[in-house]
Amino acid sequence: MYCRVKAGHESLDLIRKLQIYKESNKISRTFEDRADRDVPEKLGGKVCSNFQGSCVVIENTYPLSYIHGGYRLEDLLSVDTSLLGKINHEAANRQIDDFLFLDTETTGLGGAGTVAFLVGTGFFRQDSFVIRQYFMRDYDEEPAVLEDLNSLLGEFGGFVTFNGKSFDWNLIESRFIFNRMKMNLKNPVHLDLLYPARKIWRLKLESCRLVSLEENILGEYRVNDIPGEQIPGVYFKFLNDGDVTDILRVIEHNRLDIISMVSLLAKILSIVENPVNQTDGLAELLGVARIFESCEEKEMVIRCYEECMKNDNGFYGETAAKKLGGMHKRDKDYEKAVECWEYVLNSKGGHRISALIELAKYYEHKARDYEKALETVQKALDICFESVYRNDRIFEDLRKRTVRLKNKIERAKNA
Amino acid sequence: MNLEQVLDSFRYNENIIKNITHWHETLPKEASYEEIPDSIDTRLKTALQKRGITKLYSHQAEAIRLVNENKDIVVVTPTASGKTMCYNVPVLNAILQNDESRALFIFPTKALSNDQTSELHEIITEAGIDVKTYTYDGDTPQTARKAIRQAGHIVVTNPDMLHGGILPHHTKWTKLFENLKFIVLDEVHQYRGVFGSHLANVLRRVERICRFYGSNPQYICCSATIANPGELASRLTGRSVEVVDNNGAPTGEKHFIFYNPPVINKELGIRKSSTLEAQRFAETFIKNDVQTIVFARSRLKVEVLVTYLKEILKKKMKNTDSIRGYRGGYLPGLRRSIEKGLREGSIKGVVSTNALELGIDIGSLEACVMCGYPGNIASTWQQAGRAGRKNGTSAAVLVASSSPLDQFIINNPDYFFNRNPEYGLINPDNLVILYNHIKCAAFELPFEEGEKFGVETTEEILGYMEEAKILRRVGKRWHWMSDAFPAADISLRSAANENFIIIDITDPQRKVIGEMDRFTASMLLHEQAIYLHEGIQYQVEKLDFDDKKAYVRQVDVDYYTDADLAVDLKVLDVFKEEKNGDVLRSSGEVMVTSKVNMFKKIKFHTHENIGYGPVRLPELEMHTSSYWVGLPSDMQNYMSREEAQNGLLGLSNILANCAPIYLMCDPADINVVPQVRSTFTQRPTVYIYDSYPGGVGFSEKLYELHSELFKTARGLIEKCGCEAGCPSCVGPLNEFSGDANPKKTTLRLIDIVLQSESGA
Repeated sequence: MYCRVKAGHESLDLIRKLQIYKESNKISRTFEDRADRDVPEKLGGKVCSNFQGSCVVIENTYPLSYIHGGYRLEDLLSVDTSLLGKINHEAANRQIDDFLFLDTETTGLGGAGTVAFLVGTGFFRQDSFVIRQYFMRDYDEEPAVLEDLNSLLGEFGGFVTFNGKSFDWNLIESRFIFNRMKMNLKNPVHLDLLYPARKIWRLKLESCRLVSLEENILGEYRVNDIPGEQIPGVYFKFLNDGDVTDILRVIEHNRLDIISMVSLLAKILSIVENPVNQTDGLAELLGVARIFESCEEKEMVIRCYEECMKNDNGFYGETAAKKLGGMHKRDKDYEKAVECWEYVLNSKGGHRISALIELAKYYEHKARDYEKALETVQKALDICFESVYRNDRIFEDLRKRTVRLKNKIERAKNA
Repeated sequence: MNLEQVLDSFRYNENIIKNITHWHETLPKEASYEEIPDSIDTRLKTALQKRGITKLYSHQAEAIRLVNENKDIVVVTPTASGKTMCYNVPVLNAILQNDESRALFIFPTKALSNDQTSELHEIITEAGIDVKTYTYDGDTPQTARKAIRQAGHIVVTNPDMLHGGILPHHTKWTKLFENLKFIVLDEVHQYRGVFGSHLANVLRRVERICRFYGSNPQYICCSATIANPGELASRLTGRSVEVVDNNGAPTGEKHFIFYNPPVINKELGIRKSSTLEAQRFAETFIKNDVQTIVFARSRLKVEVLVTYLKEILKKKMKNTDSIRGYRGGYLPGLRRSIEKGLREGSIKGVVSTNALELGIDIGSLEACVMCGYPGNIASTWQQAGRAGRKNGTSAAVLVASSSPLDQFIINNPDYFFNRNPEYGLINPDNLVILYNHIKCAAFELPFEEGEKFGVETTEEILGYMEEAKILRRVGKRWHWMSDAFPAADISLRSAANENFIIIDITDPQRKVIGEMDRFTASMLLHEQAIYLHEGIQYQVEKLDFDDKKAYVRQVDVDYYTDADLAVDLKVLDVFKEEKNGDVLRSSGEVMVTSKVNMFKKIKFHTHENIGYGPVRLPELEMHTSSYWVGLPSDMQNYMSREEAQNGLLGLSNILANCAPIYLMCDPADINVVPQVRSTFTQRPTVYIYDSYPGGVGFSEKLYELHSELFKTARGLIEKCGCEAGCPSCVGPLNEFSGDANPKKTTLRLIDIVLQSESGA
């Protein structure tokens, strides 16, 4: 009899087992040395060190006369700062040069394992606009990047991003926590341009991504731009082989994102400043009205809508009239509201039924003209029957109104 | 009749009483109390008093004492013994002492989490204290999540959410992880096998994150009664855990009836169908307005029983909606409405799989009928516990099937009531599982040089991942280097990651009616299979294996289908080996290839085989761990090839049937393959392997239990009343060839093994 127990069997065959179970065919055994000392120069930057270590900083300065997206950089500096408050009330009357423009390039879509390997910033300095990008040559340079970024953040009262609320800023905060570092910013104002952009161009554009806004609103087309989804892969490849070719494209991509944010902000502010003249088409004008709605600038809202109604009796005019009608109704200015609803009726578009219902409510409850109300409901029913589109809820509502109105008329007669 | 009268009618019914092998009446037991310790906050004491609690049961008091001594504990007491107090009280007390304290409650299912949160809310409201308790799971609305992450004192969740929703985003949970004082793990006995092995790794990840944020939480675990609760809890948590099992709770009068259906064919050892007998008990209870839960072992049985019961009771009851089925694969909304119906009493009878075994609140039922032994003692007690959770008489009837395990238990009640041989087994170091969790861990926090994740070989695995370019080593750290989100690819519950969805195409408006894992899908959802759902039969028209969809259409046929699995096995490595005389026992690693080739159509009620059909599905390959026994190589000298074949087959069947007595696993969790002449051992060999890639510890345990396993097998064959063999012992006779008595042949082989042990 014998008895044997193979000691340490786990370690003996571990690698072989792993190969059986896992990524075996993905393994490449050749390894390039990443220790390419020229990286900073190749990227057009220099090594910066702080007590957390070092990283590469790439800095480019643009004259204020630099034109991008139809705006000179200095145009933004000369706008009335009160306008900022209309897109974010906390930002009212802040100086533009108190804001840091911020955009990151990352290794993934979020979670604790995603890092921002390139943090791009942009800010106004005396007679120029500076784009400063922090690049980590490897994971161990992250603390240095964050440290430098932190001292820069401390100089500003707020920052501007595009979709930073749900992504970039979120990630940066998470990286600070991850590295046990405290941020210097105290109650910063965060101006995320995605939200005003969506309000203005939602009707006009299929997509409100930054690249789409650049092309359709700013008239800028990128050449040889790297698609966002390829960016993590580019960085991993660089880590493995040290080749900076595609990293340069990522850096350029990031730079364009930042400079476009400057032009986009200028564009948004100019539209907000003078909606009637600065908008291109009624789709935009309707969009701006949404901005004024959210900052409760009633006069401007009315101006935008009235302008739409004046220039179009199709979809835009009709939509504006419907919205305006609702506003007047809330203000109990029924005379004007009725005008708007009648405008909708005359435009012969898809909002007719809702306008008729509003009118019927008005005649029934305010004017107490039941006959007229019934007539209006009847008109709505006629449209319902003509149309191929049938909404049961509306239909049911109209039917109930008819019954109620007939009763009221009957009672009025008997009384 | 009320329940007592129904039970009396059983006692005086000759046809019933003669088949009852054991009638265990548990007398009401007095409680054993201790004073509520002074360390408990007065507000909490007052809240307890409001609920009529002025003293603690002895086990509750001990649990609180040990928690105060900073021990990690596992409380092992039966259903309805006030287990939740063992964690609610110390946790709430700690939060009252320090408002910054946080606790994480982990329950195996969402339904349990919801129950627990509402119970906690009650105590908190009664105590008038400001302790914020939230459930955080897949159903938590996005808008509420931020507040929970910031402010929740107690976060109630499940392993899956912890794994995929909390740990990968730990930077959003800093408040929780910096101040985490307690981790509560309830229903610990549920965390065995694959699920438990996964959870142990999830907890290793929790531990890393806590270390990072500077906390060191204490564990409070609860478990049903098993042989090794302390060991299981220790393996799960990686701590040395103290067991609290001095149950001080009172119990009401309870009748536990063991019923063995009569033999109807002595020669073949065939017994009357347990399904029919269980149905008869259920029918009697329900007809007498005794709210009853029936447990069936498979989804299929659930559906069959619901159909039968509805049919029979249709004449007696107007509303057959008061009989419902309940099982996995039903969509959550339907489940919630059934639970509610049970609590409110509008549902009189429910037929369930073990899905309702856990502490989901369905109120207190009066009777429980188990159609077939639930597979392990812990589950049986839990299922029986669904009847009579409050004081008062209750009854549980266990109806044995003719499976050997059932026959063993029904004839050895002592085993059931007095000894507990069941081990909760996990293998946290299963390479497949471990590897996946190391990925997740690396995503969450870079690995440091010298850091161990469960195993000594952590760095080797990290090195491998580095080579595969999933990780990047910089200085002394390994960083995650991929844009993938690793937790998304790992399911804690099943072997395969992605489930198949089942689509009903009967109406032009198609709808999803359920889901199923990949391995089961190839057995149950192959084309032409009859799939049962809510008592309705569907035939699978198309199985899209790549897109993981099965298209089914309603049919009405009088048969069901059963798929045949062809298996091949090769040994890759031997871990342990021992030779006694000329008998070899080993444990090691094997590669199993399996393929479903055909299916049988089996007629309802008579179980006749009425046809075959082919199945064309890809072969599935699996590396796993195995235990095998090699018989003497010279066996053919004293045994014909046919005899040897029969003996091995008999041995396989009986071993497969005995193993679950010890392993607390589903029969499907292990598989047995006999080889008349194994190419590896060069002997007649029986292999038993874990049905999960990498193995979860079953076969290792069987290697240890070797001789006990064979002794139990021997006892079972000897006690079996059949002549030459039956499904209850060595297997149905029609599986054997030749004239020899398979029982005797199998016994001969068992004796060879047992003699080699004693001869050594």
